[in-house]
Amino acid sequence: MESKEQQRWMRFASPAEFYPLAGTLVPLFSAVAIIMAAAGVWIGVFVAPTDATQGEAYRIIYLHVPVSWVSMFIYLIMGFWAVVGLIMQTRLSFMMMHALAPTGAWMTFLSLWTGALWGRPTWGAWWVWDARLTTELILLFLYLSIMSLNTAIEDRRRSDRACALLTLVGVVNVPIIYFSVIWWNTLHQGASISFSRGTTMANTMLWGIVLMTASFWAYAATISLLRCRLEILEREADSEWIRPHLQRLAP
Amino acid sequence: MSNQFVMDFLSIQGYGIYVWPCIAMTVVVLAVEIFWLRKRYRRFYEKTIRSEFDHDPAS
Repeated sequence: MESKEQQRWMRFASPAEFYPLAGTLVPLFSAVAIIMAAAGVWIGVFVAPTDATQGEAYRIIYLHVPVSWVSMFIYLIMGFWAVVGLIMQTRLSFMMMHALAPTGAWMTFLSLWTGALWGRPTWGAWWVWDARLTTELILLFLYLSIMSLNTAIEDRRRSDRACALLTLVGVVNVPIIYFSVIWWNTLHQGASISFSRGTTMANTMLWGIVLMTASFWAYAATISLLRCRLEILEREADSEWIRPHLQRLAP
Repeated sequence: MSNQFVMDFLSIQGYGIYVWPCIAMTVVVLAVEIFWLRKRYRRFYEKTIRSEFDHDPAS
Protein backbone atom coordinates (compact mmCIF):
# COMPACT_ATOMS: atom_id res chain seq x y z
CA MET A 1 0.00 0.00 0.00
CA GLU A 2 1.29 3.45 -0.92
CA SER A 3 2.09 5.91 1.87
CA LYS A 4 0.36 9.30 2.04
CA GLU A 5 3.59 11.00 0.96
CA GLN A 6 3.82 8.77 -2.13
CA GLN A 7 0.19 9.44 -2.97
CA ARG A 8 0.77 13.19 -2.68
CA TRP A 9 3.61 13.06 -5.24
CA MET A 10 1.94 10.52 -7.53
CA ARG A 11 -0.98 12.94 -7.83
CA PHE A 12 1.22 15.16 -10.03
CA ALA A 13 1.72 12.32 -12.51
CA SER A 14 -1.80 13.14 -13.67
CA PRO A 15 -1.86 15.77 -16.48
CA ALA A 16 -4.97 17.29 -14.87
CA GLU A 17 -2.99 17.99 -11.67
CA PHE A 18 0.27 18.92 -13.38
CA TYR A 19 -1.21 21.42 -15.86
CA PRO A 20 -2.13 24.09 -13.25
CA LEU A 21 1.04 23.37 -11.25
CA ALA A 22 3.17 24.06 -14.35
CA GLY A 23 1.22 27.27 -14.89
CA THR A 24 2.11 28.37 -11.35
CA LEU A 25 5.80 27.50 -11.77
CA VAL A 26 6.29 29.32 -15.11
CA PRO A 27 6.27 32.92 -13.72
CA LEU A 28 8.54 31.82 -10.87
CA PHE A 29 11.17 30.26 -13.17
CA SER A 30 10.99 33.10 -15.68
CA ALA A 31 11.60 35.65 -12.89
CA VAL A 32 14.60 33.61 -11.69
CA ALA A 33 15.92 33.46 -15.29
CA ILE A 34 15.69 37.23 -15.77
CA ILE A 35 17.19 38.15 -12.36
CA MET A 36 20.05 35.65 -12.67
CA ALA A 37 20.79 36.74 -16.25
CA ALA A 38 20.95 40.40 -15.21
CA ALA A 39 23.32 39.59 -12.33
CA GLY A 40 25.40 37.18 -14.46
CA VAL A 41 25.80 39.66 -17.34
CA TRP A 42 26.74 42.41 -14.89
CA ILE A 43 29.46 40.29 -13.28
CA GLY A 44 30.63 38.79 -16.59
CA VAL A 45 30.93 42.08 -18.44
CA PHE A 46 31.74 44.70 -15.78
CA VAL A 47 33.08 42.99 -12.63
CA ALA A 48 35.13 39.92 -13.63
CA PRO A 49 38.78 40.65 -14.42
CA THR A 50 40.39 40.12 -17.84
CA ASP A 51 41.98 36.69 -18.27
CA ALA A 52 45.77 36.74 -18.05
CA THR A 53 46.38 34.51 -21.09
CA GLN A 54 43.26 34.83 -23.29
CA GLY A 55 42.51 38.50 -22.75
CA GLU A 56 38.92 39.62 -23.33
CA ALA A 57 38.14 36.66 -25.63
CA TYR A 58 37.61 34.52 -22.54
CA ARG A 59 34.32 36.37 -21.78
CA ILE A 60 32.63 33.91 -24.16
CA ILE A 61 32.95 31.53 -21.19
CA TYR A 62 29.87 33.18 -19.60
CA LEU A 63 27.73 31.84 -22.43
CA HIS A 64 29.66 28.77 -23.58
CA VAL A 65 30.01 26.94 -20.26
CA PRO A 66 26.42 27.52 -19.01
CA VAL A 67 24.77 26.44 -22.30
CA SER A 68 27.07 23.40 -22.52
CA TRP A 69 26.22 22.32 -18.97
CA VAL A 70 22.51 22.90 -19.54
CA SER A 71 22.62 20.97 -22.84
CA MET A 72 23.97 17.90 -20.99
CA PHE A 73 21.77 18.38 -17.94
CA ILE A 74 18.59 18.55 -20.05
CA TYR A 75 19.52 15.26 -21.70
CA LEU A 76 19.98 13.60 -18.29
CA ILE A 77 16.56 14.91 -17.20
CA MET A 78 15.09 13.51 -20.43
CA GLY A 79 16.70 10.18 -19.58
CA PHE A 80 15.11 10.32 -16.14
CA TRP A 81 11.63 10.95 -17.61
CA ALA A 82 12.21 8.19 -20.18
CA VAL A 83 12.95 5.68 -17.40
CA VAL A 84 9.98 6.83 -15.31
CA GLY A 85 7.71 6.66 -18.37
CA LEU A 86 8.84 3.18 -19.41
CA ILE A 87 8.62 1.73 -15.90
CA MET A 88 5.52 3.45 -14.55
CA GLN A 89 3.70 3.97 -17.88
CA THR A 90 2.90 7.59 -17.02
CA ARG A 91 1.92 9.71 -20.02
CA LEU A 92 3.15 12.89 -18.36
CA SER A 93 6.73 11.55 -18.17
CA PHE A 94 6.82 11.15 -21.94
CA MET A 95 5.29 14.60 -22.41
CA MET A 96 8.03 16.11 -20.24
CA MET A 97 10.64 14.19 -22.22
CA HIS A 98 9.31 15.58 -25.53
CA ALA A 99 8.96 19.08 -24.07
CA LEU A 100 12.63 19.19 -23.07
CA ALA A 101 14.12 18.01 -26.38
CA PRO A 102 13.87 21.23 -28.49
CA THR A 103 15.38 23.38 -25.72
CA GLY A 104 18.16 20.82 -25.29
CA ALA A 105 18.84 20.96 -29.03
CA TRP A 106 18.99 24.77 -28.98
CA MET A 107 21.37 24.76 -25.99
CA THR A 108 23.63 22.25 -27.75
CA PHE A 109 23.60 24.36 -30.92
CA LEU A 110 24.57 27.42 -28.85
CA SER A 111 27.34 25.43 -27.17
CA LEU A 112 28.81 24.51 -30.58
CA TRP A 113 28.34 28.03 -31.95
CA THR A 114 29.98 29.80 -29.01
CA GLY A 115 32.68 27.10 -28.90
CA ALA A 116 33.56 27.75 -32.55
CA LEU A 117 33.75 31.49 -31.94
CA TRP A 118 35.95 30.93 -28.90
CA GLY A 119 38.09 28.33 -30.66
CA ARG A 120 39.07 30.63 -33.52
CA PRO A 121 41.00 33.25 -31.46
CA THR A 122 42.41 30.73 -28.95
CA TRP A 123 43.19 27.65 -31.10
CA GLY A 124 43.27 29.27 -34.53
CA ALA A 125 40.45 26.99 -35.77
CA TRP A 126 36.64 27.22 -35.83
CA TRP A 127 36.31 23.45 -35.55
CA VAL A 128 38.51 20.42 -34.87
CA TRP A 129 37.44 16.76 -34.69
CA ASP A 130 38.33 16.75 -31.02
CA ALA A 131 36.66 14.27 -28.63
CA ARG A 132 34.77 16.98 -26.68
CA LEU A 133 33.50 18.79 -29.77
CA THR A 134 32.56 15.61 -31.61
CA THR A 135 30.62 14.14 -28.68
CA GLU A 136 28.77 17.45 -28.23
CA LEU A 137 27.89 17.33 -31.96
CA ILE A 138 26.61 13.76 -31.41
CA LEU A 139 24.43 15.16 -28.59
CA LEU A 140 22.88 17.62 -31.07
CA PHE A 141 22.19 14.75 -33.51
CA LEU A 142 20.60 12.76 -30.68
CA TYR A 143 18.24 15.62 -29.83
CA LEU A 144 17.33 16.07 -33.51
CA SER A 145 16.81 12.29 -33.93
CA ILE A 146 14.46 12.13 -30.94
CA MET A 147 12.43 15.07 -32.27
CA SER A 148 12.32 13.58 -35.78
CA LEU A 149 11.30 10.17 -34.46
CA ASN A 150 8.50 11.78 -32.48
CA THR A 151 7.07 13.43 -35.57
CA ALA A 152 7.66 10.38 -37.79
CA ILE A 153 5.51 7.94 -35.75
CA GLU A 154 1.84 8.89 -35.67
CA ASP A 155 0.78 6.50 -32.91
CA ARG A 156 1.52 8.44 -29.72
CA ARG A 157 2.15 5.41 -27.53
CA ARG A 158 4.57 3.82 -29.97
CA SER A 159 6.28 7.16 -30.55
CA ASP A 160 6.67 7.71 -26.79
CA ARG A 161 8.25 4.30 -26.24
CA ALA A 162 10.55 4.58 -29.27
CA CYS A 163 11.74 8.06 -28.25
CA ALA A 164 12.25 6.94 -24.65
CA LEU A 165 14.40 4.00 -25.80
CA LEU A 166 16.45 6.24 -28.11
CA THR A 167 16.89 8.75 -25.27
CA LEU A 168 18.13 6.01 -22.95
CA VAL A 169 20.61 4.72 -25.54
CA GLY A 170 21.95 8.27 -25.93
CA VAL A 171 22.40 8.84 -22.19
CA VAL A 172 25.75 7.03 -22.43
CA ASN A 173 27.03 9.99 -24.50
CA VAL A 174 26.70 12.47 -21.60
CA PRO A 175 29.46 11.06 -19.34
CA ILE A 176 31.59 10.61 -22.47
CA ILE A 177 31.22 14.35 -23.22
CA TYR A 178 32.06 15.25 -19.63
CA PHE A 179 35.08 12.94 -19.24
CA SER A 180 36.35 13.24 -22.84
CA VAL A 181 38.94 15.85 -21.82
CA ILE A 182 40.30 13.44 -19.19
CA TRP A 183 40.11 10.19 -21.16
CA TRP A 184 41.65 11.54 -24.37
CA ASN A 185 44.36 14.04 -25.22
CA THR A 186 42.15 16.83 -26.52
CA LEU A 187 42.68 20.34 -27.82
CA HIS A 188 39.73 21.41 -25.65
CA GLN A 189 40.92 22.54 -22.24
CA GLY A 190 40.25 20.43 -19.16
CA ALA A 191 37.61 21.27 -16.56
CA SER A 192 38.30 24.52 -14.69
CA ILE A 193 35.64 23.63 -12.13
CA SER A 194 35.71 20.22 -10.45
CA PHE A 195 33.72 18.78 -7.55
CA SER A 196 36.83 17.04 -6.19
CA ARG A 197 39.52 19.65 -6.93
CA GLY A 198 37.50 22.86 -6.60
CA THR A 199 38.15 25.66 -9.10
CA THR A 200 41.23 27.18 -10.69
CA MET A 201 39.53 30.46 -11.61
CA ALA A 202 38.91 33.75 -9.80
CA ASN A 203 35.82 33.86 -7.56
CA THR A 204 34.14 36.62 -9.58
CA MET A 205 34.57 34.58 -12.79
CA LEU A 206 33.10 31.55 -11.07
CA TRP A 207 30.11 33.54 -9.79
CA GLY A 208 29.45 34.89 -13.29
CA ILE A 209 29.33 31.33 -14.65
CA VAL A 210 27.17 30.03 -11.78
CA LEU A 211 24.63 32.85 -12.18
CA MET A 212 24.45 32.45 -15.96
CA THR A 213 24.02 28.68 -15.56
CA ALA A 214 21.17 29.26 -13.10
CA SER A 215 19.62 31.68 -15.60
CA PHE A 216 19.80 29.26 -18.56
CA TRP A 217 18.52 26.43 -16.36
CA ALA A 218 15.54 28.54 -15.23
CA TYR A 219 14.91 29.57 -18.85
CA ALA A 220 14.97 25.92 -19.95
CA ALA A 221 12.54 25.04 -17.14
CA THR A 222 10.19 27.89 -18.14
CA ILE A 223 10.09 27.00 -21.83
CA SER A 224 9.85 23.25 -21.17
CA LEU A 225 6.94 23.69 -18.75
CA LEU A 226 5.14 25.90 -21.28
CA ARG A 227 5.78 23.32 -24.01
CA CYS A 228 4.60 20.53 -21.71
CA ARG A 229 1.37 22.44 -21.01
CA LEU A 230 0.80 22.70 -24.75
CA GLU A 231 1.59 18.99 -25.16
CA ILE A 232 -1.04 18.26 -22.48
CA LEU A 233 -3.58 20.50 -24.23
CA GLU A 234 -2.95 18.79 -27.58
CA ARG A 235 -3.20 15.25 -26.19
CA GLU A 236 -6.04 15.81 -23.75
CA ALA A 237 -8.11 18.17 -25.88
CA ASP A 238 -11.07 15.76 -25.71
CA SER A 239 -10.94 15.32 -21.93
CA GLU A 240 -13.61 16.94 -19.78
CA TRP A 241 -11.16 18.42 -17.25
CA ILE A 242 -9.43 20.51 -19.92
CA ARG A 243 -12.53 22.46 -21.00
CA PRO A 244 -12.27 25.27 -18.39
CA HIS A 245 -8.56 25.64 -19.23
CA LEU A 246 -9.33 25.87 -22.95
CA GLN A 247 -11.91 28.58 -22.30
CA ARG A 248 -9.37 30.49 -20.21
CA LEU A 249 -6.87 30.25 -23.08
CA ALA A 250 -9.24 31.99 -25.47
CA PRO A 251 -8.28 35.71 -25.82
CA MET B 1 29.81 59.44 -24.12
CA SER B 2 32.53 59.81 -26.71
CA ASN B 3 32.74 57.82 -29.93
CA GLN B 4 36.07 56.43 -28.78
CA PHE B 5 34.47 54.93 -25.65
CA VAL B 6 31.75 53.27 -27.76
CA MET B 7 34.31 51.95 -30.26
CA ASP B 8 36.48 50.57 -27.44
CA PHE B 9 33.44 48.92 -25.84
CA LEU B 10 32.36 47.33 -29.14
CA SER B 11 35.82 46.19 -30.19
CA ILE B 12 36.51 44.43 -26.83
CA GLN B 13 40.26 44.72 -27.45
CA GLY B 14 39.89 43.27 -30.94
CA TYR B 15 37.79 40.26 -29.82
CA GLY B 16 34.43 41.92 -30.50
CA ILE B 17 34.19 40.04 -33.81
CA TYR B 18 34.01 36.79 -31.77
CA VAL B 19 32.18 37.90 -28.61
CA TRP B 20 29.29 39.87 -30.21
CA PRO B 21 28.17 37.04 -32.55
CA CYS B 22 27.98 34.77 -29.47
CA ILE B 23 25.70 37.23 -27.69
CA ALA B 24 23.68 37.92 -30.85
CA MET B 25 23.11 34.21 -31.61
CA THR B 26 22.04 33.55 -28.00
CA VAL B 27 19.46 36.36 -28.22
CA VAL B 28 18.27 35.11 -31.63
CA VAL B 29 17.94 31.50 -30.39
CA LEU B 30 15.93 32.50 -27.31
CA ALA B 31 13.70 34.78 -29.41
CA VAL B 32 13.13 32.13 -32.10
CA GLU B 33 12.32 29.46 -29.52
CA ILE B 34 9.78 31.68 -27.76
CA PHE B 35 8.30 32.79 -31.12
CA TRP B 36 7.89 29.17 -32.31
CA LEU B 37 6.25 28.16 -29.06
CA ARG B 38 3.81 31.08 -29.30
CA LYS B 39 3.11 30.10 -32.91
CA ARG B 40 2.39 26.49 -31.83
CA TYR B 41 0.02 27.75 -29.14
CA ARG B 42 -1.75 29.97 -31.68
CA ARG B 43 -2.03 27.08 -34.18
CA PHE B 44 -3.49 24.89 -31.45
CA TYR B 45 -5.93 27.62 -30.51
CA GLU B 46 -7.06 28.12 -34.10
CA LYS B 47 -7.44 24.40 -34.69
CA THR B 48 -9.14 23.32 -31.49
CA ILE B 49 -10.62 26.14 -29.49
CA ARG B 50 -12.09 28.27 -32.25
CA SER B 51 -13.97 25.30 -33.70
CA GLU B 52 -15.27 24.44 -30.24
CA PHE B 53 -16.21 27.76 -28.68
CA ASP B 54 -16.66 30.15 -31.59
CA HIS B 55 -19.12 27.87 -33.28
CA ASP B 56 -21.69 29.85 -35.23
CA PRO B 57 -25.10 28.25 -34.61
CA ALA B 58 -26.46 29.76 -37.82
CA SER B 59 -23.95 27.94 -40.00
